[in-house]
Amino acid sequence: MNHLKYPEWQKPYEQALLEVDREKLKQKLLKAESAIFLRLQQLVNSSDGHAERQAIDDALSGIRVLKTQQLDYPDWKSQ
Amino acid sequence: MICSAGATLSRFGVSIRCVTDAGLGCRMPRCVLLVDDSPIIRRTLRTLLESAGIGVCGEAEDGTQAIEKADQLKPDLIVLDLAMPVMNGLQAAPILKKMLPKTPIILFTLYADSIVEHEAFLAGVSSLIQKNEAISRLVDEANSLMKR
Repeated sequence: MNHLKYPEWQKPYEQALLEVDREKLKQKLLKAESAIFLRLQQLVNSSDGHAERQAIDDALSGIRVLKTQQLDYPDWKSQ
Repeated sequence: MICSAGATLSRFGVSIRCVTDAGLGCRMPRCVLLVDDSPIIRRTLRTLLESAGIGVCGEAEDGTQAIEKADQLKPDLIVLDLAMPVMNGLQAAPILKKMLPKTPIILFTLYADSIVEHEAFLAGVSSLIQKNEAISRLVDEANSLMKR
């Protein structure tokens, strides 16, 4: 049984969270971010989806931590 | 840049023949540099902009590549992601602005907040669009900024 509520973007995000190889992690984070972007575009004209938007915000916080701490992306909140 | 009908202009190594005039001259296709580390997002934006009649003359996947490409291509507009490897959008923006002061920069990001917005405008960004906004806003803003 699928345990994910929003599998179209949570699945690539979960796969990124489980990745230990640095190069694969980079690719999986890009995939997760792209899936989130495409899903956000679907939600643009929807008044529903508050819970999903909150879940996306949480995932984006996680992606930011992985990008800056695991992949050494320069952080954008401490310029 | 304006040319008259029948004239040929060379830019970016490509010859462009102006085929319409209507007494007003015809404009060179406008040229946008897309900067985003996601190939999927770059492809989506390229399709969107090109379908709106806005040419994409180059792509880059981080801030340092963006600076090299901007120097070569002299784009009319730069669409810049924030969270990128090597050099992020907030680090690249002031360098791009110094190189091409007349070229507007749109920061297009998933990670906007008030701090990012404040820093973006200090860095020379003309407009900030969040990736959770309707993507059509990017086309509207691109058209608006390139008319100025």
